[in-house]
Amino acid sequence: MLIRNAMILDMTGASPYVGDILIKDGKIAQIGTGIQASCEEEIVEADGLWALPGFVDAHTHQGGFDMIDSNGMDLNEMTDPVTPQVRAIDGCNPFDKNFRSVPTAGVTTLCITPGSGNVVCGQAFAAKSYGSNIHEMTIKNPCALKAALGMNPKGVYGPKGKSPMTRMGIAAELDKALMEASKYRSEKEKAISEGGTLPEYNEKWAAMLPALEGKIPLKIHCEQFDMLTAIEMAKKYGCRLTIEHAWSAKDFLDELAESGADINYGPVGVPTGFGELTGADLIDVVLLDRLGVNVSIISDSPILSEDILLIQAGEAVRCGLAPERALRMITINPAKALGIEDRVGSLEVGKDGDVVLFTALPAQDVSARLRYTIIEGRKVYSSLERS
Amino acid sequence: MLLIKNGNLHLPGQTVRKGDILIKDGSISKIGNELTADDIPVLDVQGKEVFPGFILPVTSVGLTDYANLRQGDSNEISSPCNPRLHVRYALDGREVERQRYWLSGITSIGAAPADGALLAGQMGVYHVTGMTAAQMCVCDTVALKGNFTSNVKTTFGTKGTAPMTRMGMASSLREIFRAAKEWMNKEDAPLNSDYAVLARVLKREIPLLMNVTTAADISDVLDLAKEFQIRVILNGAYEGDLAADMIAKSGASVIAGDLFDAGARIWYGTDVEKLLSLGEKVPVCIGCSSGGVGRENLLWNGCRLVQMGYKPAEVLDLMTVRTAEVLGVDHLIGSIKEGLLADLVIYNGNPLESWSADVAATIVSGNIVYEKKGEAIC
Repeated sequence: MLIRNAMILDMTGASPYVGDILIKDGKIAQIGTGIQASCEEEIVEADGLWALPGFVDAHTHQGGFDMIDSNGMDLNEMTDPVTPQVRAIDGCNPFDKNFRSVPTAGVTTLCITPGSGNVVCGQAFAAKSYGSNIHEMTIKNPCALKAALGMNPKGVYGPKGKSPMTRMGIAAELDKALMEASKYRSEKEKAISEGGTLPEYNEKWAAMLPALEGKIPLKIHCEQFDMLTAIEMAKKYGCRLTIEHAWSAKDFLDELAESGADINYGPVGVPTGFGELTGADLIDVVLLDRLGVNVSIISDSPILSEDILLIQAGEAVRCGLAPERALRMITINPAKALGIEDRVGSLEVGKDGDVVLFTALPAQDVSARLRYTIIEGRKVYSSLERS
Repeated sequence: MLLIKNGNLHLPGQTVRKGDILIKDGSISKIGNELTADDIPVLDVQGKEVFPGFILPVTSVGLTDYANLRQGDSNEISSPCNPRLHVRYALDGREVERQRYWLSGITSIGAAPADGALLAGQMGVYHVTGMTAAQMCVCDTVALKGNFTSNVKTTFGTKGTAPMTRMGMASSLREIFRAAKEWMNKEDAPLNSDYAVLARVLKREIPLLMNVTTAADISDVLDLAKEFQIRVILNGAYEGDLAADMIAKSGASVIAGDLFDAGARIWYGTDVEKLLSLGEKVPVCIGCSSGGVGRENLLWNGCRLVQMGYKPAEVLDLMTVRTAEVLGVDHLIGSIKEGLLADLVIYNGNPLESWSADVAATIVSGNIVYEKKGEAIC
């Protein structure tokens, strides 16, 4: 596929420029001007259109939360507060209607994560947003180990009179799980280096090894001061950390910046209450961005529809962010947070041919309309003019 | 008293550059060019955009008792039909103020009981500032709110009590309306607070605002409306596109959506253009999920329509004057018009054109309730 004469905002930090993008075998083969097409290339005339990398949503439950039919709730295994062994990929149905709508929002890559009902919730994965076989669509599995602090797990177990009932209980459960898994890891390593017997296989602790070995981050649902608990736990066990939701982050700016954690913020558009329900405000991402933190905006779809990923980037602009900075938060920043920036998140030679074409610069111009969504050189969505 | 000078005024059907608005006793007393008045504060807005305050048509925020993290006061589901209930007794001004609706241009909300009961209670339109329902009141009773959705079946049917099905919901409604009609026509009928409210609906003094989702829900509600000759507002109406002819014939009003931020629009595959084109025949506006949404969502719905190709001016109408018409309060709010309440939002830029547009000031009943820091326009 050859995309011709687009205004390219490649998200590498370069200013927008007019150029062509050649995609071969699903990868970006060339970006430049006056690229000649061979006869088998599909040509997309993009005069007057803006080309950006397909959007990346770092926190969704697409395909696993059916918002209408409760039989389709497959990402919250709330039978045990610690379930690292469950994998979101096994609960994800790419034929779900909300999942099918994702390309219409310009989103080409999704992180799909277990819900927050348990303290250790399971394994998240990253996948393309179009296709019929979730395994073939997958970029990285697992890409994170999901955990949750705050009102979700205590709301699930507390009313049953089980631990965790409080934030104290949640911290203790998470600490215990990390401790057991660390013990399992050192026993296993010792056995390998000294040639002893391997510890008996434990599916839970084995599932936590990639996080303990620093291969994938802990992905921890946090509200208000939960983020300090998350930072402490990650530090204690030497884990990488992404802080999910991060509502009220503005109260902990220094701690967050110092921790080196990536922040996956949002969604906003929820009522403001007291305590945990205070402080969902995109001013937080503006402040974190100024401190050099790698911040992404997330949709948490399909609780809200996928459209709100870009809408929130616009709202962040209203809060004072430059459009280019806001767009980074739904492209390259989440790609980095998910550890898949070698594949997606910017338009560069060698990366996947995931391109979205808009009629104007999104997150700046409200009327900017998505014209095409292209995944690996294939048009998966095109819009029509309003009749 | 307040004089707003040099605004880009979004008046009904036209935009006036460098226009002035004189506010007296909380209402718009005069609109014109180069108005003057002695000894009253002047707000020179220097070409900023002046819109009528946006109206969030149906919400339970303000009734939910978020302080205690439970759905406290919005959802009386002790029995399926409770027309006697009134939202004014549950509305918490502090909870409404915490939403800071003024930052998103909203000056009024339709506060309504939530989505569990078949007839949930009476709803009103209230301002976004004030501590008590009386202070916030724009119009105390605008409709009887009900729900004709699967929520009701879940609430009652799962306990093994009626209604368990759509047949059950329709029959419960028929039964209570028939009884109320009989009561109304009887001279020596004993006092009955439920029937008294239903009598107002039957006399067409107030409409029945019903949450509906599917075309089948809509069909049932419109059939009931026809039988009892009552006015109906359909809220949600995700399959209103499929029922468009039926709705147009019935004359019912429609609050469309939440069109973008709920699973329902995608599940039901709503043809948004077809649904909104009903506005040529009956009053139509846009709304948000009636449970809990944030202050941003109404404007986001508007912005998504602009993305689809709607003109900012027509979208503005769907968030202001059309909403006021649907709720029957267009004689009070919804436009910048002499005689209406001075509910205004002053934006730097047009939020339906540019994402960088933000609120410079919000005025409710002539009072400046918010002014952006450093703006110094007053």
